[in-house]
Amino acid sequence: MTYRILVVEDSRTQAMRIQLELRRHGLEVEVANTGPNGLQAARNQHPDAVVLDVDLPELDGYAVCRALKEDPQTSHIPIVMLTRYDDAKNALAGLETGAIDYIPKDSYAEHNLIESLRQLGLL
Amino acid sequence: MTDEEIMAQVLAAFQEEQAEHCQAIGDLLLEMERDPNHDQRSNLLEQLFREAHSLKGGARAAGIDPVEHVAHRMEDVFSAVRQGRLALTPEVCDPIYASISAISTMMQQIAAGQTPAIGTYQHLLDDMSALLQPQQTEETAPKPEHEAVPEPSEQRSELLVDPDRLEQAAPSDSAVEATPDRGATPDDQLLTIDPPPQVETAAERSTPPASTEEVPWETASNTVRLATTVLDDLLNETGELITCAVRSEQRASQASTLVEFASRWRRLWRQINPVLAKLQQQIPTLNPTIHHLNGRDLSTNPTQQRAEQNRGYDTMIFIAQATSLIQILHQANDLFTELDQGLGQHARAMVEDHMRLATVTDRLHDKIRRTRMLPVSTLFNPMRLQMREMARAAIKQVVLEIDDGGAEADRQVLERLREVLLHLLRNAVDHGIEATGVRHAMQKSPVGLIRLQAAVSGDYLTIAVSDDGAGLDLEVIRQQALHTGLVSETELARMSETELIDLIFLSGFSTRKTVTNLSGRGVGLDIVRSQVERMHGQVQVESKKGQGCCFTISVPLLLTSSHGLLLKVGKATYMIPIESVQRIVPVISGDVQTIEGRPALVVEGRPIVLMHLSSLLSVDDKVSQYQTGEQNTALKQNGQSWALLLGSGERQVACMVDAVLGEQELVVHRLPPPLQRLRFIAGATILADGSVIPILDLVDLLRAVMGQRHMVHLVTEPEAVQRRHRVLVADDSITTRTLEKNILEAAGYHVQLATDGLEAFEMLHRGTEEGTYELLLSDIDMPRLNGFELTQQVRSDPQLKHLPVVLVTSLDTPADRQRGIASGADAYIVKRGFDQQTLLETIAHLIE
Repeated sequence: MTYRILVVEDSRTQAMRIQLELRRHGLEVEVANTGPNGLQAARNQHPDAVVLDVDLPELDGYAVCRALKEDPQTSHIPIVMLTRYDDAKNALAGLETGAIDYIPKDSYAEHNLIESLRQLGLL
Repeated sequence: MTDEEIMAQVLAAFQEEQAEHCQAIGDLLLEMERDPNHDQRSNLLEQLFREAHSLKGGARAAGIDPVEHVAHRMEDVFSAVRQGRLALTPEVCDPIYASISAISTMMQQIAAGQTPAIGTYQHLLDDMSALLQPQQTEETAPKPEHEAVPEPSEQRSELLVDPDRLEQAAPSDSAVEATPDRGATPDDQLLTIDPPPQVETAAERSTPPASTEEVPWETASNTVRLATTVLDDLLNETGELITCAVRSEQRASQASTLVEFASRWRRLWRQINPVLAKLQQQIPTLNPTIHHLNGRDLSTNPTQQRAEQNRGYDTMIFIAQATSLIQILHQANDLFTELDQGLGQHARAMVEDHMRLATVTDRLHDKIRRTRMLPVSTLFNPMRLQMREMARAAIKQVVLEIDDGGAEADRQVLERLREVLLHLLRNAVDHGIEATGVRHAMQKSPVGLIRLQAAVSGDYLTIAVSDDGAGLDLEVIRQQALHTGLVSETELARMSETELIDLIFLSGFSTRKTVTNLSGRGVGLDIVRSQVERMHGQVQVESKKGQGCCFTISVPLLLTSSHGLLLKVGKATYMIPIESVQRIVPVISGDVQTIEGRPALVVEGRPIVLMHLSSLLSVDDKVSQYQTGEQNTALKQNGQSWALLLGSGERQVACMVDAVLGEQELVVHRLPPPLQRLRFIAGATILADGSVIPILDLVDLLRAVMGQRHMVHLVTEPEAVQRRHRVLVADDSITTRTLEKNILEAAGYHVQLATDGLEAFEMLHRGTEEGTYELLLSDIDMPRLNGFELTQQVRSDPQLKHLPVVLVTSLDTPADRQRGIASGADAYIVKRGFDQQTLLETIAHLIE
């Protein structure tokens, strides 16, 4: 069973890092670079999980998260948010908008992300 | 992929990204400095912060600490300015400009293979930190420009930052000069920040990177930057359009059938008309009867008179009705004739319309598919950097020559080929190119040459990976094949050179290599083949011992198939993409031969395994006798049947079907989430009549056939069927234990479980009621006694020392693998990449 993950991240480098790491674990990964694109992609592709950066241009991660949770077509998709590592307070805000987990962007980010996805049973 | 490979790609992506961010920061800062009262001030500050933030994040992801630290400091500075804690004075901007220049320099050093020392830039960090502390006005102007001059060891001939210019620009008192002057310096610095074309780095900025999601920006205004989701949407819509076009064809043909009715009327009319004519002729002859009746003498009998009168009247009525009927029929005929003509015209128009629609839709579909095309150079160029890493790791001298032939292919095709190419390149470096000393002895040039070539032929992209190394050693292949039990001595003797070489693509073949080879990464060339086949392509290899080896991959340029074959198998209908089918051949009972106990079809002198699609698609992988029975039945019923040739080269299968219903447009729809990954099914399509038909997956079909071949070998030995081999599974995770037990039991093994190493050892000693264990499958990470220790104990125990041991684990470093081998294990399978097939094959080989 190949699970599909949608990564919404505006930094190409970070998106690529995540994409390659997740692929290495046997996941299929799509990347969207902006909030609106991420929403569109989620609605079209119905990924098995969404990895969402908080700092997106135009529409920020919280708004995207809320939108996904409010749309009945996508509300079932688990969302993992990537937050700034010194920003625990807002990370909690992420959980309140409906994210299932938040991962600070520090040197363990990819490792923690993999663990998070493992908890979700996608790995 | 290994860590190095991932990081190499991420680095390449970051090389580009950082250039953009640095440029943006410079531009924004300039603008802010030019106009301190900018009306977009807060916006610009916000953007500056974002750019630095992204720079920091990207550097972290790419693992480049120095850049990350510098970017972090910049972020802090911008944050402070945004919050009003700091004013954006020239002395605040200086270190920023210096920082972006420093970052560029560092990235260049990295591209040239050096490691930038943060020490060189420490003062930058300190300066910026100092800014963030409460201000001290005697802070002298930073001297970063000097240090930003690249070190003498810089190998590049072109300097990013011109030291002369900088030295002019940065006398210490210029910090307090007015903005206009300041403006000049950053400008110069910024001009030089534009990266000059780099000679040997991976990411070529002039070409669109395959890693980004967007078509690159060019300064000419005739290009547009688009998100690929837009293109995907367009593609979806044209898919819908194609379905409509197909339906319109149905309507058109239905209209044509209606015209049939009209012509039937014409035929009917041709029969009626003469009858009517005759009738009309006879009517006047009836009249004299009436006139006669009126004029003649009435008979004396009144009853007779009345009867005759009545008859007269009846006749008159009859004549009137007949005349009227004849008129009506003539009118009807006129109507039908009009209808006929009108309908005929209409049907013809519909057919014309449909044809035009189909042509335009086809063209549109094709063009949109092609918008997703990227130059192959975007795939090839990053390989240079990877190649350097690989060569360094293998301590060999290798140079990579690239010739992309200006070819382009679908973005996704290139993406999927990346892994494949990396694997082939690694193989070429590790196993192909000889060590410098060896090459010297063979009088070859000391630097090995690996070539990557691409060419387009029709709708296909051909990529060749060739090396001038040692080539494939047939003897080694033979030994390996025997050793792993993949083929028997007799089979081996009968194999041609091509068949022998083809063995390297089998998954069982490379499993052993994972254990003994430092570079072994996973299962090897079978991944290459299955990936390529999944793309409906082929991979072939040519080799000359001592001279080199060449792998040729041929794939369709575009990933989406546009045509498919509609098949009938029993009562079910399936679709198969046309690229999956090499040929369709008729199967006549006389052509079917039995080779090695299995039915085979002889095509052009070659025997090809023959199976019926229905037995392949049915759930259990049962033995061939069943299949033969089915096939014979099918043949007897139909006399002649059809078989599709799937796969290519040595991996070809003739798949019998009950009927081939035709070829048609294929629009692939992905299956919705719960059904995403079904065996044999690659998606679904909607026919014109609205029915949903599953699309067959070529790779799964081939695998099932090949898998069955192996299974058949195991089962045709009668004792093997009755005796169940006894396996002990040791793992401390209950989920893993249960999973492995289920897999093994389904394959016919008798399984017992142990929850840790010590328990496993005890159980091995005790054995089972039927006898001792024949194989140990063990995890490594276990309490009390771990997998390595357990293996060592098994090997030192006189009773157990010959027991086959397979270690299954999530630890994948070369060190762990070495430990696995050193402890005495027979095979080492990494959980992350393993699939049932590999596990079962490994176990089967070891037990035999």
